[in-house]
Amino acid sequence: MDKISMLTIPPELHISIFAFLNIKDLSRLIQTSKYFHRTAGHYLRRRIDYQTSDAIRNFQEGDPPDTVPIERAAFIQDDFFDYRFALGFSFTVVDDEGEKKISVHKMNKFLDVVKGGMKAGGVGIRNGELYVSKPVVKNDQFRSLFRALRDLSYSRPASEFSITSLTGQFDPTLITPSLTPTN
Amino acid sequence: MSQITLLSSDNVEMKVDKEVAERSILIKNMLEDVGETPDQAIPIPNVNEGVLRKVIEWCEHHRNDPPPPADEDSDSRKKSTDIEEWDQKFMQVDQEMLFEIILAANYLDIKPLLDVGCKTVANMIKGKSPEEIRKTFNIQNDFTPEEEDQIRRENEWAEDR
Repeated sequence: MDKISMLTIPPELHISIFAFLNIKDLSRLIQTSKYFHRTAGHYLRRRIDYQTSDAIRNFQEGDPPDTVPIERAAFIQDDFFDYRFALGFSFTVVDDEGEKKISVHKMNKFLDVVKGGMKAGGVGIRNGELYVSKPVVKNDQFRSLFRALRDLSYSRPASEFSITSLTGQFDPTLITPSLTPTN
Repeated sequence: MSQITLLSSDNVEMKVDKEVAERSILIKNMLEDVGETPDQAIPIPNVNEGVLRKVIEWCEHHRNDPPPPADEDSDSRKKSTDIEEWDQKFMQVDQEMLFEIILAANYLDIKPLLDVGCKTVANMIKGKSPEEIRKTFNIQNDFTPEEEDQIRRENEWAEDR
């Protein structure tokens, strides 16, 4: 008989182990082999869905905590694992130089752009695209933006997703000018 | 204090205090079903002598622990990996024994011991690169170089978490 090892224990025990890993460690385990790509990947998506629903509920109850994790991965099907669409998303920026399509792969970059866009004017949805142009400064407007992002991702076929995932920490001070430190 | 006898998969008998053996919910339920302390050895067919001794050692040390909370949260929110000092030392065993203990704790239904085992494995994964995780657990990389590259890119978002 093979020696008992990480690879011979039953899947339900792997899941018991996943429960003690954070997202970063899970994502690294996912990269080790096809088996963990499938199993830990499935688990990670569930984790993200929980965090997403918590964040959405907090927003919808109008009670944003100091820092809200915003995650979206519900559009990733459970029976396959494809993070190509979860890396980031594209949106359109409207500024003095006209419209530009921007792809981001990190939430922090996205928030920088949103912050910059709000200073200059704002954020909105036009022709099904997120754009930065009009004043958007309140938390409830961020909530609208968040809903619009969600609706947008639901309304597109997977092959055309322009919005794929919001991953990272949302800091309300980025949205509420009165709380924004002067810089 | 009444004692019962356990019989390991390799036919070794071990006497333990009933209270200690009842850290195992499997054994506890079995004894409750029987209704009286059995005079025959209770066979534990999935656990060999070495592992059973180890499990009993853990149960002895934790004989007075309060029972774990019944409301088991089965959701995917991350749980703490803190392990108390005695348990950390207890888990300083080779990997085969570690996974044997996890299997036995699962079979015997000793949830706190299963948690300690899983936390120990989680701590062996924490902070490691995929390659280091493979080395630690002897995991075969069965991706093609192209797949590996793609999967690395797919997971970049998690790196700044």
